[in-house]
Amino acid sequence: MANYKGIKGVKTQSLASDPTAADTVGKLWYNTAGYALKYSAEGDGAWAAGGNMNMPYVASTCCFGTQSAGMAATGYRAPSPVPSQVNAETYNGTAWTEVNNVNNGRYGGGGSGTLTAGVIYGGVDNAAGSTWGKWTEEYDGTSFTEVNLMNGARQYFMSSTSTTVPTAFAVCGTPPIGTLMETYDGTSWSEVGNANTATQGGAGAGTNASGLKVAGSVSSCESWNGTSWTEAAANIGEAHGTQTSGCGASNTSAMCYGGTPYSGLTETWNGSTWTAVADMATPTGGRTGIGTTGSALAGGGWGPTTGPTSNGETEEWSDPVYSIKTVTVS
Amino acid sequence: MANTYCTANNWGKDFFTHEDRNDFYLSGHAGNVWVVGNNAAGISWINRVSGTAKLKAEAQAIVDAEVEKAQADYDAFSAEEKLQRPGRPKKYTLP
Repeated sequence: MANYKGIKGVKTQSLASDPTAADTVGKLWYNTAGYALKYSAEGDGAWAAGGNMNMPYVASTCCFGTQSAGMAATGYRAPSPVPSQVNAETYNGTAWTEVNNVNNGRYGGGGSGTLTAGVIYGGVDNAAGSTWGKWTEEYDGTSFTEVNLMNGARQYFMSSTSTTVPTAFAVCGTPPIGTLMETYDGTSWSEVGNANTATQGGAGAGTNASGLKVAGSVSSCESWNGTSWTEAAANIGEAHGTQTSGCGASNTSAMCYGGTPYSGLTETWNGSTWTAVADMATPTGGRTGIGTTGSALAGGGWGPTTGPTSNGETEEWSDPVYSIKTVTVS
Repeated sequence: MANTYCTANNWGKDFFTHEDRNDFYLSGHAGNVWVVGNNAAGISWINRVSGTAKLKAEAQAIVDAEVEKAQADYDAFSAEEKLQRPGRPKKYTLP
């Protein structure tokens, strides 16, 4: 009977414990502790369950950061009408931890930056009779501090997901549904070149120098070059509608997920085409838009019954997915 | 391949992994209902999360009841609250 050495000319390496999958793609070894022949594989991108948030029934938070250092602050709170959440939580790749509250509760706002230099802006408090806000607050790693206001009071705009700190953009939004584009330079907001298509509730991605907006109440995809918005080479392939979340590094590397009608639809953008990839497990909208096309974080959100999910369920996107497989013979 | 159905409480981190998602179909619904691809990996996952197996009709009934409850809640909302919501919940058929 042929054995591995007879076929490949070398012996299989024996290891007492499995190596890191990402470092050993395509390698084969014998695990002496488990008496199993194993190998590392690189698979397609996928969503996995992350730690549940501490804020229950929360959606449309202001968020920023990365998958392993993310922030979800304030947001819609059910049952409404009650004041919006003022809590803020950070995510370390495993669990959410409460940090100091924001000053102005709101939902449908935006966020950009990092856990040591972040900024949140806009939105509306879901307390009865509230009006749309221009509130801007910077986060220094410890607390939120009110800084200069936005020019336009609105919610459900498309926001940067920049980790270039602490800068941001906000485009379109409601009410009324418009095309207003503003950038924040770390000190103040400035009105710059407006978008071409008025919409609200879509996804934003990128930085003040290279951004993207997509989907929303009027589906379109536009690219920002630091000066102006232009129609992108292609619109998104699937219907995401409003409550769509997005993230990404630039106008050539972005993704969007979820939206109404609620779905787990996920698509990635490479600057010229949208590609449908693996869906989120739970159909949702209004989740956190944090991270990049290789590593994203979707926390909280509106669930399948159009109320915020009860447990603040979180999903983590990774692309590619590295895994260790056991060789089986049947 | 047909799906199988269960209820299970999503405890958070690693309730389902990236590898799970590449090994079998999985979707979560109201009432802690999960639709799971009917293969060895999917069945193994149900056991791992201590899922309670359901017939499709039973799973659908749980989701329907949750949607009906959400519809009743929505109908009782004020006009202002309805404007804040994405719309009245609708029943849907599990895959």
